[in-house]
Amino acid sequence: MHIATILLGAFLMAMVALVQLMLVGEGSVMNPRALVLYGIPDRQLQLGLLAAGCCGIPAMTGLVSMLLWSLVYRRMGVAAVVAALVAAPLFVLTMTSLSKLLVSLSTSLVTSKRGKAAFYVVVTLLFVAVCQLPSILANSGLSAGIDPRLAARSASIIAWTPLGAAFQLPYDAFLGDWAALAGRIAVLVATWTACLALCVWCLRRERLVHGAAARAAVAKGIGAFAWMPDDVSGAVSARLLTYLVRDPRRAMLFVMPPFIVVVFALQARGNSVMVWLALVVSGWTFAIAESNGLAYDGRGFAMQALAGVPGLADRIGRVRVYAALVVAYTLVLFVVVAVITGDWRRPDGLLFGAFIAALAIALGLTGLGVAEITSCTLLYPVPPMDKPFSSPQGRAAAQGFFPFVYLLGGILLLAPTGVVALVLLAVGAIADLYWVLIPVALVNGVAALALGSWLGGKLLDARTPAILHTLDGFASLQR
Amino acid sequence: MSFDIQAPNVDFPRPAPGFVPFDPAAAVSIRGLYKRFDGRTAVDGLSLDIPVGSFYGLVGPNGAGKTTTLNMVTGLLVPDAGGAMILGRDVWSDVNAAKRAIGVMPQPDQIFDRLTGLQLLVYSGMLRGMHRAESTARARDLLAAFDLVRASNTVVADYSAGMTKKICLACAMIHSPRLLVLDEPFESVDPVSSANLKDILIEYAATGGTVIISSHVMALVERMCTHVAVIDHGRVRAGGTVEEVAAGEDLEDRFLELVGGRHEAARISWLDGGAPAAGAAR
Repeated sequence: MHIATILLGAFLMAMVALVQLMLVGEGSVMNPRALVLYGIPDRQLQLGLLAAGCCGIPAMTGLVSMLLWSLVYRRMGVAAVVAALVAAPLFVLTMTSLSKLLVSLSTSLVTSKRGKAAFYVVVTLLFVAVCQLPSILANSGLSAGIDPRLAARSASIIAWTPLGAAFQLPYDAFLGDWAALAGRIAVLVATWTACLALCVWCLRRERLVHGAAARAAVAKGIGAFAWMPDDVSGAVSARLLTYLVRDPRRAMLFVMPPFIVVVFALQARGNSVMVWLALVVSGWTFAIAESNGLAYDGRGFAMQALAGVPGLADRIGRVRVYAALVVAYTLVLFVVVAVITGDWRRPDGLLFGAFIAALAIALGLTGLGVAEITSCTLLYPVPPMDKPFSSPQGRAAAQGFFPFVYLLGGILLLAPTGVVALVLLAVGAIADLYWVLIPVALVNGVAALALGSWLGGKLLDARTPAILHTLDGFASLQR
Repeated sequence: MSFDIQAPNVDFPRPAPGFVPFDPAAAVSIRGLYKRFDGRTAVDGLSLDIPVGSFYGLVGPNGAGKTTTLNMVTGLLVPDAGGAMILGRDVWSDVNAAKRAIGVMPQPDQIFDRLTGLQLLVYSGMLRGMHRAESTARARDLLAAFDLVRASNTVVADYSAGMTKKICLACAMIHSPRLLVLDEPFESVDPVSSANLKDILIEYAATGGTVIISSHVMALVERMCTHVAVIDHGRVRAGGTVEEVAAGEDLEDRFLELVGGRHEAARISWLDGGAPAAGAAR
């Protein structure tokens, strides 16, 4: 219990800081930049912001939770409970200080557009990986192999770090080790002081470099415009592809498929079917950003509206890029998974892999078909490209619900393939003839994509003024 | 966001009989344009003819309805009533064709600024159906004309405000439209860039192109425009050549006379610029 408390507590603290960085970050209302005109001394300003952070709902709920957690120690005596009650505000103060420091450092030091984009991708991947960690540990069998002595040693070290010190205080009180208790409080005080000093340093540094022209990003030639089809849809495709690479919010789609395969492979425990399923998940979720693609384009979409681009040409241009990517990724991952699982040696294994890959491509295409409709109708606000960590205000329900329309729609449009599968099952031929589903799924996917693109084009033609109005509203939410 | 499909309202109420009919010879002919937002009338039956080859200024206070009018004329906003004709063609009968015939300068936040200057212009040309080779050649010509050659491979997001305005104008010109529509083209542009922009526009108008600009800067309108319309509360208060509208007065004075709203300088007792007699607590 002691070791678990320290380790999980430290994990919790790290997660809170990460979440603060991702969800609040630059979007925080209590941003020092918002108060820069008022002539408040740096230290006073940072202290004020820290106090404000400690009064916020996350800090308050954290405090209440930790105060209630002290009841856990009641069998260890009054001293432990009192120490836990004292530790609660110390924990909150440490958590808030570390969060503020992370946000300050990230906003002050990562300033270039490319740096910010890379930082976003890395932090997001780290966050997803950490969220997957418990399930990977549980499913991979690694947790069973953890050495208790190693865990105890790790806990004793972490208990002397800012992440774990607050959680150790009740145990120190229980053991009557007052020197250690005082030492750990000193660690916490030193942490707050260091965080404050570093935050103040960030403010001063920002004042020195603020307004300095960052190195301008350059690219020679016309890039993708040189080789895409020489028509309106080609212009749309080239612009979209260029943006997918430069927009950190959407660049995740390039790293997620291999990441999903790695996560599935770690949890597979030798079950190759599990690894193959990663392809299906990857294909299914591939175009999730495209389901709200026009919101990601933002007011830039006005360029197309001003030029009078027909809706169908726009949809064809977008679909060309995503469809090519989903097919290319699935084929590459097909080879990778065949090698990882060793199924490349067995014809039946390869056939099963081909079936899964066809299913993944079909799901990718049906999803894309749905996305071409939802991106004209079910728009929701997204963070601006410059501040991908900020959380757009408003339409919280839409932000949470609309992506599911894409996910469920993609599966529903694959119903014809499902019907064929059921027929095969009913006649008892599924085991021998499941390969029939490969062409069926692919035709199904292409048909759904064609239908979605056509309908999306019609909707775009009809709704362009309304979409522009909606995007203007989203842009004002981002300010 | 609404779930309804908002189709362009081709059958919106036409001007009632007795109204002056559209002038198909005009570059832009507007009749009875009307738009309401959330119970507030933004454009209130506005009618206007803009002659071919004119340099036409739309002036008016903030919220007068200039931008809303331009958005409806250029097919970006569906009017509640009334209509517009561009170069003899009804805008909303084939809105995409109307858009391709004109050049509307996008606002700096209405462009894809992660493209380089060259890419943005090629994109803008190809969007209008031009071939890649022609778009690229014209893009290079425009970059040279706008003094942006050294920035052609730089991402537009890293441009200064003046450079961004110039690339926005270039985007509107790449397909050589007969009509240019510019909303506050000189806002936040430095004097050097502004002078260059003006030269390009004046030369364009001299070759027979029609330019419509909306602006707050009366001196600029007086100097550059051949025609002007003063818009207030969604209506045209006065329209015609600059001389006709100014009616022998300074245009700015005439504008203030038409729209009103200027009041005596208010005196705030403590806002004294540090005069010793003020005695306010510091």
